[in-house]
Amino acid sequence: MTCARRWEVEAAKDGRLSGDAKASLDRHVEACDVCRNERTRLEGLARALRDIEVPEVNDVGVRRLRQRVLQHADAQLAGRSIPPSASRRLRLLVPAVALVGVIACWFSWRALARPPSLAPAVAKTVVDAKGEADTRWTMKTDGDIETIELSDGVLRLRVSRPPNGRRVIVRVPDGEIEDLGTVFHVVVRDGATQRVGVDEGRVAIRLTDRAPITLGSEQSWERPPATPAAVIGSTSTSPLASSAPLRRTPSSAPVSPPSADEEDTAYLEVLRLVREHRDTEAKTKAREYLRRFPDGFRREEMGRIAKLADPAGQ
Amino acid sequence: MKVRSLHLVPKPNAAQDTLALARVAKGEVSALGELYDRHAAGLLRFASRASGASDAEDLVQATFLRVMKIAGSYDGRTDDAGAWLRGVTARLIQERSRSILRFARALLRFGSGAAVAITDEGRGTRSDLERGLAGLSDAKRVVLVLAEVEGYTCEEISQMLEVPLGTVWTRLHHARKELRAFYGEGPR
Repeated sequence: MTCARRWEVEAAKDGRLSGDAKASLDRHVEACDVCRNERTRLEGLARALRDIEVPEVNDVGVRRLRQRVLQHADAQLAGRSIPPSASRRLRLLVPAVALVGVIACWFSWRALARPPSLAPAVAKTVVDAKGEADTRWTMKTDGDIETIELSDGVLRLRVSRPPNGRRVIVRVPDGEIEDLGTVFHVVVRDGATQRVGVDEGRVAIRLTDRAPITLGSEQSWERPPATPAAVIGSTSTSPLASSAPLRRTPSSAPVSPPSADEEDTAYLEVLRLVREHRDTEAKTKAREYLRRFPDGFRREEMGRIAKLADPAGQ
Repeated sequence: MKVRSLHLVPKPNAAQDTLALARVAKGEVSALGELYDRHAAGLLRFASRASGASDAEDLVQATFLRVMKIAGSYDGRTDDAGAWLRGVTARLIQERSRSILRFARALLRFGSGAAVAITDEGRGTRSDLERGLAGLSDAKRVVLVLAEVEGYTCEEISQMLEVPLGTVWTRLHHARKELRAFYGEGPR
């Protein structure tokens, strides 16, 4: 069963019918099963499309993307060389993927009879580890983790880790230290970690007898001596600072470890003040952010806000 | 129908958006931040539906960077910067699609297996409707999402995408037809 006016249902939905034609169709639909079904189906399709679930928009993700967008926009304005934008990355990706595809086709053609490799593609992590003469350490690859066992001595590491590269973990007698892409050293004596110093990047320290901490560039952690008075320069009363003295070299002022939650909170506070047009307070908070999180993820944005709030940039 | 009528009245932030776009055109990055704060979440949802969640962030980033270059061309015709921004995102989706199409054709010259692997990616994990939607051309999918999900009228879509109104009607009709063919008569 069909109806010659069935097409008009979609036409009306899309605004192709108006006035008398639409009114006439509405009267017709009331009496015509075919057209009424058509209208129901079109509405059902629209409803089903609206009901398709998309991943929830995550606040932190949106903020991180904002940072990225503004960084790129700044670079674009300044005419600097910027990390590849999405469209540019796609343009670069197309020939690269084409080349990989050709190579893959060639290999699969040559090795048709061989069983496929099940090893996951992990980008190469380069670890340059140097121990002192008396340092006892070993290194092995375990799945997607490069594990370094350091039982005693001083070990200096330079790690170059791509985003999908193998994680690098230094296992020490009393815990582990995870590299987050960096240059750092670890000192183990008497079965315990005595010192971790970071020259570049970040490391996460997870020792059995203290709370986990993260060290940023030019920060160091030392096991406190038996007497609290011996903790040089540590005047902070924060639990982390008292249990794990952190030092930023060359300055001897204690610095709280950069915590993602604290950093987010500080960042959101500045944003709130900006939105409320409380520029002076925003400037103060932005500067406080920069002092607390000199390597913070939003340092450029905070620097910009500090300057925006005060035209003289003071 | 109720959703569509929302677009007939100016958006509450329309004036602020117009001013922000004017400031972006003068090179004020902070104005871009304001626009981002008002529209990023909606754009991410639109990009997820129109192109897939994995591409959404890149598309939204590319949208705002494109806005830095073309903000001066915003004339406030639609009285809705959100619609204009969706138009920018939609054009980026189609530009990207053309690049990928060129790449797929190049691959086809080396054998059909690789191209099939690309088009079949992700199948079996989504509903029939989602697969049907993913199987549409970008041009049709974008128009369908703008009309049926975002609630824009065909006239608004025509302005956003800078294509003739007849083209919007045609794409919309074929998109629905292909979707219904993909899984029978479709949901009622």
